Amino acid sequence: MWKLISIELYKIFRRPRTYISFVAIGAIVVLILLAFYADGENYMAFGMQALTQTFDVQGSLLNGYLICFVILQTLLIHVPLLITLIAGDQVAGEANMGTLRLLLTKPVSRSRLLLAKFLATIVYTLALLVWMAFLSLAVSILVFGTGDLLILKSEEVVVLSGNDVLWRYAGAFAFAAIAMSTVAALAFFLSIFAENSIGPIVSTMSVIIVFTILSSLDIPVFNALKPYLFTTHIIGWKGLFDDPVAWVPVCKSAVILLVHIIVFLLASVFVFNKKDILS
Amino acid sequence: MLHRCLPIFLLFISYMVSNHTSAQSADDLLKKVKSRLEKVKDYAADGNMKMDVDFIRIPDAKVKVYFRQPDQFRVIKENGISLLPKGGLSISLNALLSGKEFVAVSGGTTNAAGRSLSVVKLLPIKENSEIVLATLYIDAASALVYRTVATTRDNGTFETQLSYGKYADQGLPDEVVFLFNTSAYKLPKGITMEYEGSKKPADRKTASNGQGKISIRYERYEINKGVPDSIFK
Repeated sequence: MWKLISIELYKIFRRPRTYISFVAIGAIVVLILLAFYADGENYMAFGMQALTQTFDVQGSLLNGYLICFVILQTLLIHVPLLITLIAGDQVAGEANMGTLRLLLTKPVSRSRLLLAKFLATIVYTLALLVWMAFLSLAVSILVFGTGDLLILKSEEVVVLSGNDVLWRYAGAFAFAAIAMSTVAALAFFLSIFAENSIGPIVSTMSVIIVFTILSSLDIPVFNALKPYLFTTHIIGWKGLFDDPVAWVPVCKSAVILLVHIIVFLLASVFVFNKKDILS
Repeated sequence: MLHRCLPIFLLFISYMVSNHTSAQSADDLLKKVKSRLEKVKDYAADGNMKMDVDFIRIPDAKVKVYFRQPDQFRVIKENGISLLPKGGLSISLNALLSGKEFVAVSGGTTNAAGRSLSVVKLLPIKENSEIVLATLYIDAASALVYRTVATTRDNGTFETQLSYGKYADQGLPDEVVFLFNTSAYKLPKGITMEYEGSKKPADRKTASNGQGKISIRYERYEINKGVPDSIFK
């Protein structure tokens, strides 16, 4: 199995397009860091208006922990696009190049082959998140230092003590790994049906965009739908920054996402095993 | 005619005398309080700050509190963030009273926390003073202020409750409880991208009637040792 995964990983990391995601995340993080370095105080003053009307805020708000939170909030919306670029290409890309039929002539079961492709996709997803964690947390701390983390929520303000933050980020990135794997599993599943990778990439992004809009709009009709949308649970990492941590909903969201991953994977195996491969 | 007017005249005289005496005693009491406070030119204190506001979750923190005459006051959390209500100068009695001129009017006496306290109402002489009216509840014997209620021009009414210990001689409290009004806080969910699983503050709300509370328990004061300008910048 490991050999199969290695081959799939080789295929992924051999393609230049794989590195577009790493460069894109690097560029976005560096731009955000530069923006905060140059004009962070004004940005903070604008964002803090609702609070500073009543309170004098003293101390260093602008620190590595806050910037990492902003980057996570911004990037976890965009990272799914970068993940679908690879996940949506896993099967459909082979079909497009005409190598899928050839690949299936090897003495490996379809399920094992698919599992190897899926695990290689997850390795890529995790590598992207580790890169993102390094840039957004380690580099932010290096440039801006540490301190208390102030989070503005819709109805409350949470201030977390500086020495109580790092483990939350570890948890947040672990949660993000589950969330992004769900996106990868969806794109991978859709990839089974297509003959080229554009279809699954666009379909996955469309699903995520529509679901995210439904998840973020505070309208009663949509509120009933929210618990059933996986995008509602994708931002569950934020629950780790509550005080106290909302463990039950966070764990529930993680389990729901894991169930999504398993269902998408099993559905992929089922469909792929039944599929008549013509390309 | 004379015997009819005499009682009224005497009543008027006695009212004037008692009024003058009480005004004088309020002034004297304020002078006693101020003279005690003015001995403290500056201080740096270590303390523990606890904040209780419906919509703010902030851990209790060790803070440094700085004061310098006449009314420079700052609460700093080392490497951290501290939130203080705007206009919360009266959290420090020294900052509330020092360097300011007031007309003191006696408001009688009241009992609080097992003490008989003189009520002194202060009207600022300066027209553009931030404080519009302040009421001090003073223990006349020790000239220590145990409670203040200050109404400000822009930031509403603040109340402080003070308790004293080893720094009572300098008029510095061991603990200050500061009560203030809080206005509603809300940001659109579209901006904050709220996680649905997070607990809503309404679930945890206490019956605080929109009032916030900050308490600072002082552990140690360093008095008249000088405080650098950079602290107040």
